[in-house]
Amino acid sequence: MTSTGKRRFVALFAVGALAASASACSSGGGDKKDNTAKPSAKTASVVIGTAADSKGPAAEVPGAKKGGVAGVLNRTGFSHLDPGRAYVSNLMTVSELISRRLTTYKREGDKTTLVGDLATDTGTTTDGGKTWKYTLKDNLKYEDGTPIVAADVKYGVERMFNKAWNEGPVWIQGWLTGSDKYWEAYPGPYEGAELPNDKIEVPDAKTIIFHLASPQGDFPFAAAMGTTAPMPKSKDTKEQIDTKPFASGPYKITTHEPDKQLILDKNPNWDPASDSVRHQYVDQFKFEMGIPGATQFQRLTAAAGSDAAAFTLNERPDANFAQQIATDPALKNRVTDGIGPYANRFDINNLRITDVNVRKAMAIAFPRQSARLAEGGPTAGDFSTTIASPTQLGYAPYKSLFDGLPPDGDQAKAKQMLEAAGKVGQKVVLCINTTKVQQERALPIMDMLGKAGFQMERKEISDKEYYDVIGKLDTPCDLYWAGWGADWPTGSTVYTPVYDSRQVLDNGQNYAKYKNPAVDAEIDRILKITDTNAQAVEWMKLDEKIMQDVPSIPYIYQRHRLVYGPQIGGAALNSKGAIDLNNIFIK
Amino acid sequence: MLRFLVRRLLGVAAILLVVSLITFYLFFAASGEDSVVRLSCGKNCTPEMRETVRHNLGLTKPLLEQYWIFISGIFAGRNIGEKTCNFPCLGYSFANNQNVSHTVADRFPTTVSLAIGAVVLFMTLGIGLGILAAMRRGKKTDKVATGFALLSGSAPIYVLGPLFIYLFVQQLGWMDRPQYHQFTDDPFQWASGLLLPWICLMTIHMAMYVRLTRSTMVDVLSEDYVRTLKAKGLSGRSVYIKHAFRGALSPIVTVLGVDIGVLMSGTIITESTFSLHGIGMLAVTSVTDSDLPMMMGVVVIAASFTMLANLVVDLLYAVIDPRVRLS
Repeated sequence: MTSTGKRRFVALFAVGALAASASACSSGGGDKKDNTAKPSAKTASVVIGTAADSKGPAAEVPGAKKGGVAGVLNRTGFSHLDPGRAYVSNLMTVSELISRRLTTYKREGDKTTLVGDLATDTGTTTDGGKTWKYTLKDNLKYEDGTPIVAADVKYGVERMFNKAWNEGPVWIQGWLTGSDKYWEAYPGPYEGAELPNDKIEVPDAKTIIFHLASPQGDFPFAAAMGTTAPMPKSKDTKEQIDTKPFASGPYKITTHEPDKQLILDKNPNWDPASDSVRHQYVDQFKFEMGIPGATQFQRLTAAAGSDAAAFTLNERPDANFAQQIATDPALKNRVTDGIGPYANRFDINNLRITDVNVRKAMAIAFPRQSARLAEGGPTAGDFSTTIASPTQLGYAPYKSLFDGLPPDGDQAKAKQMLEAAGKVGQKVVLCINTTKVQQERALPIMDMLGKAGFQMERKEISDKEYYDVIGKLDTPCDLYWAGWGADWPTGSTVYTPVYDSRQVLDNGQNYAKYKNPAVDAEIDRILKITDTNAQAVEWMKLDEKIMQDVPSIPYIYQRHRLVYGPQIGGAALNSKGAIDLNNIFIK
Repeated sequence: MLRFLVRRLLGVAAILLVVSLITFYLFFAASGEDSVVRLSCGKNCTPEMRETVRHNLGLTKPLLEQYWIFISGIFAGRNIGEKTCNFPCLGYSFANNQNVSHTVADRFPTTVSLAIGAVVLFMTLGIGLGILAAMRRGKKTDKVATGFALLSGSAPIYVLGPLFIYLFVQQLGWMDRPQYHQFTDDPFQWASGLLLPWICLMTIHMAMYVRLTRSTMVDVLSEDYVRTLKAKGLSGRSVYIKHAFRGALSPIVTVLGVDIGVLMSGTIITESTFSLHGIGMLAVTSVTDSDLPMMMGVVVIAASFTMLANLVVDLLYAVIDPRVRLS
């Protein structure tokens, strides 16, 4: 998942819930004295909940009141609200309020639990993760009052086999068929066929059984994505679902004018007793789209009129506003603060910079502090040392290349390393897009790496083509920014797409073009571990192993300081780096 | 008159055809098939969606045939793949899953409302101050009016808009943040929601009308027939408003025609500044979203309204000035 809307990323969002709970990250503020290298956010474990955890209703939010209209500001329109096609943080956040799925995440204070949503629990398996059985709760209804049945969940999954809609999560489709090209095994329901019982079985109206091609311990996490949202066949309007999905959650769409506004009103047929996560406090959510980030921040800080009861969905402040947050005590009290699922880094093109010592020298010379200042300093995030985000299950920092280094790198040491490698004057093409942050960040990077003995060249790429250019095998770039957010809080959706050499493809997501057969073998081995906690430990070991080759320069664990109006209650960060809509109320 | 009207309408149609042809060529031919598909599909487009778009747009057909399908579709509607696009079909936005004409129709009332209010205000104040300045030429009133015009005309909307919001909405709290409400729902809310952008547009546009009205009025007031009217003992009101102003009106109407055309095509900066979802914002979104069918639709609509405004101006000439014959 990407926070920016760049699609084709097959990654998802991590359960950054732990991060959401992270109370205070680093020193805060957009000052120029940030020299913390380690994340100061708390990292809580995500636990897989029990049937009891999955029982509704959700615990009341202290001080919550019913009624009122909550305004939500968003920079872009909502391109996909079909739950199976929503795959960026703002879309998934909205989609989860409208469309329920088999499992979901419950956040209570610092604790995040994976619980059953439509299902009574997170799923049961009797054969080590190859077969997963779910039983639906009682009194589940759609917005028109018709009951939600297991066959609808099956049909919802079947729809997502449609090849044209592969911009959404494709984990379950791949696991069911055992193929990345799942559409070749089953093209979806629009050609008349159903998935056979040996793939998805629906023995009765309340039971659904998934038969996977191989054991997948992470299936309950994948079931929390929109792929498992139910869809009655009679209500399937194909592409139109993308603008107006048929609601099963506490809110339904009454108006959606793309790129302009989205209005959600209460769904009277949603039963709070069936939902352990969501509330229905406000009467209406009114989303305004096309509001630039700076305008959102200005409006929400001024909080005039109806903006007092509004909030940004997921817009992080730029450097100027970060400074304002740091210096305005009143504002500090109405800003979320936590690390999201995104671990940002600068990738090195391993096909062009083949000497590991040169890559190490690049990392050592890299001015992380100056680069971060372009984003607002510590407000942008804590310096990272790992590929994993602190939101990843089992995250544990290890001794890294950056330990003991000044925050702006050690250019003298890097130069010595270059000299020892006989690569002084090594040409490095820094590729940047045309955004203000990347432009400003390029200056210290060019300067500091230049001081270390690299021959720096700067190449600008248009925003629209950025990922296309850095994704090409023959890209002319050597060093470029990239970010990643896992779909769920385990390493399965991080290392597999980003550092597996089998993903070194034209337009693949291994942007570093990193190839290490030993890492590939390790990925395959770890994926076979069905105990999620044991697997998490192994992922972190792999993280350390990969970083020994320095395919990338870890940069920051992205911090999400999102502003909300003074009349908004219950605002907190969700697992996707957006404001959680489930608990919002008007004071 | 009728003959003139028909001739002008045909002229407008011909120009629109040329504009649409050039736009169509630039968008759909000059940029290459792959670019067209990528741009038509929007930012979030998978390879599979691209194939669907390629098929639905009929890109394998000759360019002229594609153009004919586009133009005939405006009048007769057409099917784009599985989608039905009824009259007036300006295309289908694959980025939004909507007919372009539906989206344009949805955004148009905001732009029209913005234009109407702004025109009424800047015409009233601009012409009023211009006449006053001409009547009191060289005196304090004249200097204040022209000085005010100079000052207001120097402030760009991207400065004035945020300043007004900060002052009137955030600090003084006299107004709520600008919002569009339908006139038919609540005329008062409609007017109060757009008052701030109207004032901004008025401030900026008024300058030209003050100076234009003043200079043309000064010219007309020095004409012999005005002196004759005064000598005949006509009242000041009759001389200045009924006769002199009418003589000065032609250039004002010409400029007004252009202004209305521009305003109706969407005031991009004004709408963006005040977060109003009109044609201007639609143009911005369609460009940032790489939504080619939407861009095409917006260009055609913008061109149409510019042409229409100029046609109305031509017709008004005859009403204003009897010396002009519509033949």
